[in-house]
Amino acid sequence: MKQSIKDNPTVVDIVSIEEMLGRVRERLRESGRLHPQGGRSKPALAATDEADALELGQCQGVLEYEPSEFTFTALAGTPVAEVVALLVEHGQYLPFDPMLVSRGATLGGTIAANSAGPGRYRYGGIRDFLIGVRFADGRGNLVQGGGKVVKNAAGFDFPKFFVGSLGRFGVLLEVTFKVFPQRRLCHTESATAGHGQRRENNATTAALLVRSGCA
Amino acid sequence: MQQLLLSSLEVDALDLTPPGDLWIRIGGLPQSLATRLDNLQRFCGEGEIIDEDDDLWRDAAELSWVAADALAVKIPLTPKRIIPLDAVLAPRAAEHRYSVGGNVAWVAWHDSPDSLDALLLEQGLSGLVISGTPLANPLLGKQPDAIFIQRVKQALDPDGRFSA
Repeated sequence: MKQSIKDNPTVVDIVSIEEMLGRVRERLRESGRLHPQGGRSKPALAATDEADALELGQCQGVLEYEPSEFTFTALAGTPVAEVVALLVEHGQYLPFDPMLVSRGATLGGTIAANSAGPGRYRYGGIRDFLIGVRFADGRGNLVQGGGKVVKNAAGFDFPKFFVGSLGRFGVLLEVTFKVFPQRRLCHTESATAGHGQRRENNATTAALLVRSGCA
Repeated sequence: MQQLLLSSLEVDALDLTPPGDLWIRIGGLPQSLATRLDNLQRFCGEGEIIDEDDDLWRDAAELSWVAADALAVKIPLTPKRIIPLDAVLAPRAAEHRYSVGGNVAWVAWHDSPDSLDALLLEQGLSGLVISGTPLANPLLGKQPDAIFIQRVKQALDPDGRFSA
């Protein structure tokens, strides 16, 4: 069942991509040089005196979410935390381990800064999960790269190109990601308790710390 | 770390914090996780299991260990460059962490960006400043050949309306 934004109670301040594009075009007319900004979770990447800030943090909302297809599409200013919460409800998650979520990281900023955490080790980084983008170029044209389904083969790979782009090539307006299912719940006891004793718990993983001298 | 990278063991995360603590995350199906954890422990020879590890890895992803007055800098890396980089970071007392199997280094830099820029240039590495005051150029160190990037930028932003 396709979930629309009307069904999603977590979405606020919904703005359409047409409205976002209009804002970008307006700012391009008004300003010399623009620097997209979202949740300001990465202060060193914010606008400086050399460019005017283009605020996109309020341009947020999940536009499409198809749990059975393991994909979602959202406006670029959508906080990652909101997306994570939505995915958890359906037993899914973002495998590239987005960073600085608690500081207000947005989808667009996460892509632009290539901000993936330690969990990307196994399944890959943002490039491996970003399957579609729609962005405004320097003249206010709406450009689409990739698509909304997992299999896309046509055209220049704009999704991958925008990973780590730092807002230099265009303004991300809408992004589409593929997601993974959460692991089944399990738990592993501490090795000091002995082998063979297992019980159900809420842990899905465990960590092993190997102290200095063994690494 | 190198041995683990070359092994057949599939782990979810692999980080290294100086002077030599290896943090390994493993997950899986209920019927296999315990066995896989045993295999991992045998491979490493020893190790302390941490059951409730969500907070541990969340802190890593949130860069909670970086002081508020420090610059958080991301440095793309390869495992074989860990030792040379560590040799220049250790005397500076800069907290740092090697993540994603040694393919990224995160540094909490307390000095000026220019000093880290010079250090990275010497090492032939690049860096991206994430936190701290806004910088005109958050890119430090050696930058890759920009010919391809400039050609694409010319197509997408011919009037130079976005940051260079």
